[in-house]
Amino acid sequence: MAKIKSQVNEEPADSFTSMIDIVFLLLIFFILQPFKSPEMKLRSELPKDSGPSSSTDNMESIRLEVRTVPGQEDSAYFKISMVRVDDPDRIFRALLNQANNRTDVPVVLDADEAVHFKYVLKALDQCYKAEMRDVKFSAPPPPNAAKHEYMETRRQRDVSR
Amino acid sequence: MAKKRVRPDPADCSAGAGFDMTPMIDVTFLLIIFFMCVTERADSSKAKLKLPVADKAEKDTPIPGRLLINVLKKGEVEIMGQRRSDAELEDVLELERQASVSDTGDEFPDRAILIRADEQTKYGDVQRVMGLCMKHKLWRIAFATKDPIMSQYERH
Repeated sequence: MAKIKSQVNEEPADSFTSMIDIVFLLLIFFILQPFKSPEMKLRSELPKDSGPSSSTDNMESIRLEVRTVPGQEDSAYFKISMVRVDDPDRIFRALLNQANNRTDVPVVLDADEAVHFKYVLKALDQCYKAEMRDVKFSAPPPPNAAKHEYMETRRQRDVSR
Repeated sequence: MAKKRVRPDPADCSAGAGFDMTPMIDVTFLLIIFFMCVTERADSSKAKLKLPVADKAEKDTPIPGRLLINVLKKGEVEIMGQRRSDAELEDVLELERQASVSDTGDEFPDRAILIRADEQTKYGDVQRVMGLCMKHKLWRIAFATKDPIMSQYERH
């Protein structure tokens, strides 16, 4: 009689295998997930002409400059039509002020060669934040021989402003 | 009347425990997750760079055959895991130019060159690549950026 009772009370043992499997699966997934950061992109268009007097320069446009701070390699400051902006997060507001809240005004993005790329991208991002999509990169200086002439033209233009 | 209990025949497979699929499914899922996570990292066309962050960036959906140019921190250009000189880059860009124009002479609007530059790369090096793109009449470009949400997560 005792033998029969013990057989009835004996419940089938829980199988933990599946649960452990799922736990490990989740563990591996969440450990590896942070490494898989999706990349994003910022679209842009290059100027179809080159040299100091590109077509956009002659139009009514806002000039957004990204300049290196002398002696500080990892910092930069911004100038919007010759007005200095130190906080990069305020560029979009300054751009809109400059353009009287018009978003169709073209922006010419002119950056120093030595400035870190992140500042140039920040400036581009701020233009898009201001909904100003017509951003043209200032044409790169022509190579070697014409470079001096280009720099001189640029200097004279800055002085005249 | 008590029912007579029938003892299963050990030789008869169909009467015994069924074929357990659980471990196989587990292993399959493990492999899927593993390869999902690893393929992104093992993409040879993408150099290991610290990309800049942009709030207004859009999600990048890779287009087959798209040209991806990596500009490393020191200014070197890398395409498909190989360093390229400016002359070699020009050859690649010329091929891209031919590929970006259809037989009817129209440009493919979605085919933009993706420039992946490190956040500490000097702009002059990126500008040099952009200049070469312009030289080969490739006007449409895009800059690779980091997801701002993920970058906040990494910072913390």
